[in-house]
Amino acid sequence: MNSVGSAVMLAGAVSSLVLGVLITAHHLTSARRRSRREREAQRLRPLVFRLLSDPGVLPELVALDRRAWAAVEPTVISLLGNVSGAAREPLVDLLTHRGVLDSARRGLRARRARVRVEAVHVVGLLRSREDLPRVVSLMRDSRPEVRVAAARTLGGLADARGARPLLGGLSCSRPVPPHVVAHSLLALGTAAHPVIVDALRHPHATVRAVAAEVLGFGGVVAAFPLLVRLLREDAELPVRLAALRALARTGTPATAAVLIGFVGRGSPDELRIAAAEALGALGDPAAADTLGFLLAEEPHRLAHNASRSLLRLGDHGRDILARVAGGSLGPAAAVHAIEALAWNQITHERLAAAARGHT
Amino acid sequence: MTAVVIAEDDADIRDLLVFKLIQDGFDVTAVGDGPAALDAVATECPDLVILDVMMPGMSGLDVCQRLRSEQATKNLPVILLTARAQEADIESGFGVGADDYVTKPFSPRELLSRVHAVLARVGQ
Repeated sequence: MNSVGSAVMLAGAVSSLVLGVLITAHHLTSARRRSRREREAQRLRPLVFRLLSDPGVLPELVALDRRAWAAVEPTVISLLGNVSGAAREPLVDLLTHRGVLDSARRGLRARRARVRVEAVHVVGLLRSREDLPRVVSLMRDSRPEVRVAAARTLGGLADARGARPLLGGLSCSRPVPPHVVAHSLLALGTAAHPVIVDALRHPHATVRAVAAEVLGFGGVVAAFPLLVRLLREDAELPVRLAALRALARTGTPATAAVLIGFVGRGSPDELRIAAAEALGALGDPAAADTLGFLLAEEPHRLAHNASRSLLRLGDHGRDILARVAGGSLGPAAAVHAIEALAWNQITHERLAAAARGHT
Repeated sequence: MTAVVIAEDDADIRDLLVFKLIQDGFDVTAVGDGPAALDAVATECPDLVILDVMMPGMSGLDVCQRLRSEQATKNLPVILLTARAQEADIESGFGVGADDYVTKPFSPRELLSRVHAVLARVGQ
């Protein structure tokens, strides 16, 4: 090997060594910093816990120096997301005094997506409704994680003005996942219901489906006529299924008759299967005879759901199952009825045994 | 002194629960996962267990079910603490034999009241 080659090799080895030393030093420094921060957090946590029931310690926490506060701030924010009732107020006071809300407001405009996500999360935890317009603007953020955080925060703010932007997040070019939107819409309460009922007429199918599900979970009886219309006329099967589930949850006296209209052979199988299950959830004994006849129907899942729904209708449902188990509707229906009655007995015995063992 | 085992994987919540229960005069053992909870119950013989539902390794529901299946712990009071607040989740909690079900976000004062109420029911 010539001298140039040796020099290159030597330089490479020295560079690698220096780089290795630098990386090790960086890791050691970071580890030491983390360990110091964790020790500091451990020391200060009891003071934060005391704050939840003793606002007298607030000045002591407000006066912490920057390093100590940096150590304990994650605990305060984590607790704020996990406690309710009187314990929330002192945490909000502390974060406000420490300027965390102001800092989060600046963070909403940060260039780094991670900072925007954390900032919008803190704004939501602090329920700062005056920041709603800025949070709404983040629903159109270029990064999906920021849009999801903004949608969750709109739920956390529990302000009905968030309903339209949330629904808008389902049909725009940068969408938010439907389950996130649905969860946040549910948190907005009754004041948002008129906007959500309107959304049942939205041209975008996902918006109609999510609106139907949310209204069902909210038990919004006023949506009944529109939900029935969606179930009967909508061009999209997922929307019809969402409307069906919503009707079952809403549970008006007229619901059973509507659902019974969709278990027949003229409806798509998916609707028939969902309707058979929904009739059990609804619990109206008026559906018992129809469910009994479904035990002899195909597909398998339809008859299975009908058998479980009959169990949920109480004595009348069990009487029908017993008759069908005896062969009144043929052997295939009898198998479903026998299986449901056996399952009911096993469950009943298991619960009874657990209750006996627990007393 | 009444002994309580807490299983919660979130260190902040776990430490808060420990702080509140000790402040209230309980003897507390805290662990961060399901298997450790079973070990702690076996060694500490507590009067009550508080279980987070979603923990690594073994869920609080699984731990509760195991406790109910063992002769020595089948009557041990269990409170489930969880962010899962749907009707079906609560039904599952009671289905595995929990004595009470507290959803997050929770009020620490309310949780303490529930601990006392459950212990009063079993005559501690």
